[in-house]
Amino acid sequence: MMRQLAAKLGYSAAGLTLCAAVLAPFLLYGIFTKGFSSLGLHVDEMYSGGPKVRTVQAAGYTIEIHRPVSPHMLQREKPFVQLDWKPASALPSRVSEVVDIDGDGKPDVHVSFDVPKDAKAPLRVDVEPLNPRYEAMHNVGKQKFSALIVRLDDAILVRIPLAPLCAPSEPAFHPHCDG
Amino acid sequence: MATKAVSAPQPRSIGRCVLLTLPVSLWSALMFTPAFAHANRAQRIAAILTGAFMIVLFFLMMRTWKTYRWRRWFFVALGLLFPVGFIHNVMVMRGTMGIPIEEMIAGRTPFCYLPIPLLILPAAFTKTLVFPGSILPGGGMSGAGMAAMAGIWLAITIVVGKGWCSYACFFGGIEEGMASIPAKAKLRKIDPRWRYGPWAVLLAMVLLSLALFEPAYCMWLCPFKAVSEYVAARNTVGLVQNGIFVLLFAGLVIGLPLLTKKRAQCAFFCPFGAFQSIFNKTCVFEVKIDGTLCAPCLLCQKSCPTMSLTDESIARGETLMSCMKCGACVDACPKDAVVWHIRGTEVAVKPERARLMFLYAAWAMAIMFGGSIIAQGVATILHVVL
Amino acid sequence: MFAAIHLLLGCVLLRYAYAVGRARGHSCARAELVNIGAVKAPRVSAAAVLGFLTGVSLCPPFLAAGVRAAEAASVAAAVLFFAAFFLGTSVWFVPFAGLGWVRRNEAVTTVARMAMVLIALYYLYAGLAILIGKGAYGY
Repeated sequence: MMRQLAAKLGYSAAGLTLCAAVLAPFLLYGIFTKGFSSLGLHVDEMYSGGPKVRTVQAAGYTIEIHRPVSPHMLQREKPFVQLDWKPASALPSRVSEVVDIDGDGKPDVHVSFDVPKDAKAPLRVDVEPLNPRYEAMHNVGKQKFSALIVRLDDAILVRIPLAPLCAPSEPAFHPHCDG
Repeated sequence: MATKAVSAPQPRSIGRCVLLTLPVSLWSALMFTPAFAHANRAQRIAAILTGAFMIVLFFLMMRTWKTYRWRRWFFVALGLLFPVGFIHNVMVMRGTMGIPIEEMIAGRTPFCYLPIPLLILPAAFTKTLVFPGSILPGGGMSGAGMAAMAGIWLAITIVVGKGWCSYACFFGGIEEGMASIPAKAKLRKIDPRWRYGPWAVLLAMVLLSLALFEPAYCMWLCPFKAVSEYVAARNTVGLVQNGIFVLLFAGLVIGLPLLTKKRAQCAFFCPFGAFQSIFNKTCVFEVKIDGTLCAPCLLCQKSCPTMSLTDESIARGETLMSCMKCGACVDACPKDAVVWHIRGTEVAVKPERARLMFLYAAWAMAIMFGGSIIAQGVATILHVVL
Repeated sequence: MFAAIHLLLGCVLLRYAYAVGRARGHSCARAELVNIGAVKAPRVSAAAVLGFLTGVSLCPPFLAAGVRAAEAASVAAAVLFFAAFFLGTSVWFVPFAGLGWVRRNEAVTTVARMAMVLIALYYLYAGLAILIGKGAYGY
């Protein structure tokens, strides 16, 4: 009798599996996709640059400032903050400006880069820190995720590395991080 | 107990084969009809050809009572045509197989199922997906997004378990094709401990991915970057990474299958395959061996492309959890001792019923997923040729 | 120095992965790792030495516990605090208590050896990269 019960259960399971196969493209796939999307996961900020927190208006373009990003676990990248200049088509041929990143009213970095007409031309940037929280950067292409300048769609992205002791994950008692 | 070899069965009657193939024909029509709604001529022709191809293969599975030989045609076609469609798309969208950093920042890297096991621990600890893609469609090469691929993977895995590796994986067909070229294996003695390779790669890659917060297998060890895309080398390390995947592809996907007639990358290396093996424990379909009919001649063991049959497992009447349900052993057995089986039922009692139920489920998934990829590859060729 | 540590760890892992398949009955593979010292001289168990070194190494939680204990009102309170610290941290080792059997499973030991080789290759690569001054990553 146990054998018969096991066989019935087995065939029932096989039948349900067949139903699952038929329902997969119409129901299951959509349910699983929505389920995955609703898990609250996000792509690593080392790739995405972190969420935007402020926008600074300039003459004809904006500078979008992202939340500083810290490396996880044993990631070798430095902590950084991403700034987006957009739209790239509205930028002057040379951008040279002082940016207040943390919104405290004091200038933090002086960023300068050329904007070539050719969208595929390599970019170079000079970053002079006016706040010891940020590191200097010169002539960086796109070698690292934490220090780069790239043209992405109609924006120019600059990622400025933070001094290690001033990373968002570090305790804020280091004197030279007070800005 | 010595048993006589069973003589080759008569082909099933054509009428019966047509009846049995009817559900597959309807399913195929259902899956490929949307291609007609807005597709160009190349896509319409590709949809018809692919649909017919899948229907004919299933018909032949019914007619000849064999599975492996016909499934292999589908699988090799999938393995060869996926790169055709994918690389063409990449070249049109981006102009290069190398992924530039801009695309990674924009989340436009297409997500393949291979890194799924590597993303679990970082996501569990920090809710972060360590892959430069988009969860939902993100434009460019991001395709339908990571959620869609995860959804497809889960749906197919629930149905076929590790049968994914025989009916869905769009990389394994290249090795299967290579393995079927030589008449005999030149390298016959393979240490069975190499079967544990995929688990070791899985363990190492999971740990490295958690520590370094990157998809370590994709960055360092995936041989299939040779036929899809890779991170564009920006420095020496990038060149080393690209060199590694070329060597792995040449060795594991081309060379070793030619020498051993085994699916070497799948059997000895693929961490996703090891991960999928876990789902063989939940799958209701499996392959079993009837001890009363078994000789044992070990032809099943020799025919298995992934060495999933050992002397001990044959004595126990079962395959190892690495079994991909490809059907090679079932077709190779001269005594009909190796059979398809549904958990809970008696072994070798109505095995053809078990085979049919499995094949309907697996072929439905194959048409839904693999079929669409084959159609895209065919459409690409037709688009270029026509 | 970090490069040297990485390279050393990588080599030790490779040696261990190679040797553990050959040694029977020892937890640490080779005789020279089991006992420190020459054949005739008094020999010290390596496991005891390594255990002692691990015990006296000051990890941050241990340091914090030490500071907290030093602030305690009495010696008894300090001892009680450390006893609680020991019990609290020992809980993490409970799951490993019954895992000796895995050493006798061929699948587990083979997977572990192969994984050790892969991880060792990573450590060798990382050590070399630091040594020659290049970044350890492609990006």
